[in-house]
Amino acid sequence: MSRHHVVSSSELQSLRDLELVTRTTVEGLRQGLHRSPFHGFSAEFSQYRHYRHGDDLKYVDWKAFARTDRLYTRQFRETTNLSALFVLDVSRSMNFGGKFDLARQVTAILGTLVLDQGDAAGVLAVDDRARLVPPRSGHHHLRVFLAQVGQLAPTGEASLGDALRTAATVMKRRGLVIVVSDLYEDAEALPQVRRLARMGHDVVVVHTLAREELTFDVGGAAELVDLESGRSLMAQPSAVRDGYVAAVRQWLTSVHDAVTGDGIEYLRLLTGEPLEPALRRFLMRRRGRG
Amino acid sequence: MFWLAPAVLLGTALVAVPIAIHVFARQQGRRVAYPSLRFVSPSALAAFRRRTVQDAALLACRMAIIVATVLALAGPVLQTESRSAAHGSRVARAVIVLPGTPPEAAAAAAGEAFVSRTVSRANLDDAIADAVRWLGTQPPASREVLFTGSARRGQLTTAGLQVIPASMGIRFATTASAVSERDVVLPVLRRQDDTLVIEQRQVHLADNETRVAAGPAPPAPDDLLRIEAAPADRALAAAAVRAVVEDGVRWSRPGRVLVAWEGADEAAVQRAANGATLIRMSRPEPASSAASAVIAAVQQVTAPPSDNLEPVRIDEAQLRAWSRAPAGVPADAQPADEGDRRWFWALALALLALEHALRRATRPAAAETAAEARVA
Repeated sequence: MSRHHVVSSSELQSLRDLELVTRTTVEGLRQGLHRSPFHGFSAEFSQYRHYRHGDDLKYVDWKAFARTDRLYTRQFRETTNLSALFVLDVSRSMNFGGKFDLARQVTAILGTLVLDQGDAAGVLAVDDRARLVPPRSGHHHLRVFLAQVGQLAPTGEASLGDALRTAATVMKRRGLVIVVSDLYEDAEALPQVRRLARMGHDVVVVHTLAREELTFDVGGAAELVDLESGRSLMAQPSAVRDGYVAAVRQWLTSVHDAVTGDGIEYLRLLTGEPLEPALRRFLMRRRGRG
Repeated sequence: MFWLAPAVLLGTALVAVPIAIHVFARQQGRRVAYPSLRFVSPSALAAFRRRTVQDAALLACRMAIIVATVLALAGPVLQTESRSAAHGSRVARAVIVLPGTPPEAAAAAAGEAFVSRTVSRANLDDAIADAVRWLGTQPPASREVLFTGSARRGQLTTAGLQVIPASMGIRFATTASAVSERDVVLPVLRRQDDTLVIEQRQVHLADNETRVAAGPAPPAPDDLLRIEAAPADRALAAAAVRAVVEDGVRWSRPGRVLVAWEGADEAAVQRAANGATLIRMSRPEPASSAASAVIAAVQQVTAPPSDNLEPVRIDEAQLRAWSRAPAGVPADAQPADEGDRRWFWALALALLALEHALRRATRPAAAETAAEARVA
């Protein structure tokens, strides 16, 4: 993948804005986070975690199993840095209500945190072709990383499942995979997420949604056009809203249960909500687990 | 089928109005890009499909209302056999009242007509023209001109009746003439015992006879009738005046009459014409016709109106010769008084009711916003 991009002035400005927001948020997040919430695998024992299907049996602590009748997998602190890959959903459904901007901000903030602690971060998105910035470390890479994040647009033809399949081939060794998506393609994407987790990757699913998507906040009768399929239909929100809200609530519950049931971390972010507190809670919780 | 007002059919273009309104109203519904429609329940989609169908029905209903209204205004006429037979069996009648006919006689003559009009004009030719013009505008029916009254010779002629189209019948309803028997006072200027008098001659007029009786004869001025002529003709003029008053001349005009022959001294004529009625004429040739020429000239200004003259009725044979039956219903007759509008008006009203029902059915249970109400 080429790291050199022809950046227009508007893109450069948006990149600067992204950097500014990212830097401000990152500085805010650092306060109170004395230890990094991200850490990799090492030969030095780090922690136990619940056994997940697909874990190498050689890392199962059989003594702990004999004591507790539960399977635990030992995790080790690697001597190498953490390698984090952000898989960003660029499908057209992300182009709604500032959802993609939120996804980009989250990616930029967490990526900056990873790079600032000396680890490697990369980003992957698949639209008409795979757009990959491989995980690397260093301050110079931060600009490359942010530039790529800033240039991505939600016009993708390919599905999130394609991107996750590509991520499985990109991440040669165990690392951190952060999936940022609205998960409307959950039927195809969630099996790929579980596959990444089974491969030993530390997987985090950041579920980004626009607030209007939860409330069906469409004023007045309108012809709704499905951003993914292009299908359209006339609807009166008053007639549809109750059923829609109930269905979305049920779907969110099922997605949450499906993701967390496999030990994968799940973070739901809504547009219009303060980003920093939500990320802080997530990182604090993650650090506590670490 | 034909139309009473075919130009109104251009109004069918108005069906574009509801189409435009529907298209505009549908455009009012915004297109909103939405991430996924997977959570929009199928029941809502089904309800919307039903409403779409009803919208199409509503549009079709509104278009049909406009078409039905335009067709009703255009006046469709279905020419059925029964309708043609009904047209042929009825009569449109113009009743021309001949002078002197009592009004009740004219009303009785118009009695059984499908439509009739009484025409009464001083000039009979004008009356015939009016009658023909009016009959030409009448709905489909047999047409006839009915003359009622007592037709005097000279009033009706073959040439005068030729202006009536051949399709129209001609009929005469003769009645006893109001002037068939009456007494008329006929003033006559004549000489009586070397004195000029204006005799009020009593004349009894009847259809078949005229009786004349002498009446009072008050004296008249000697210069009541005078002729101014050239000096060479003065003897002839004096002889002519004597001959005229000797025979008598109808004299309904009060005042003096001055006859000026060609060659008379103009200054003398002007002096003598002071207040008199002046008649200028050439010198009569030959001289033996001077008296009759003067009488003819004087009669033009002094004779009583012609209706005072003796009436002579046109005989029945002539009237039968002029009579004819109507030649059926003219092909170009426009049935302006009828048509099948009522069926189209009824259809339009029924469609209005249907449209109202459809609108109530498509109205949303709770139109929460103005936009919803507008689209609904």
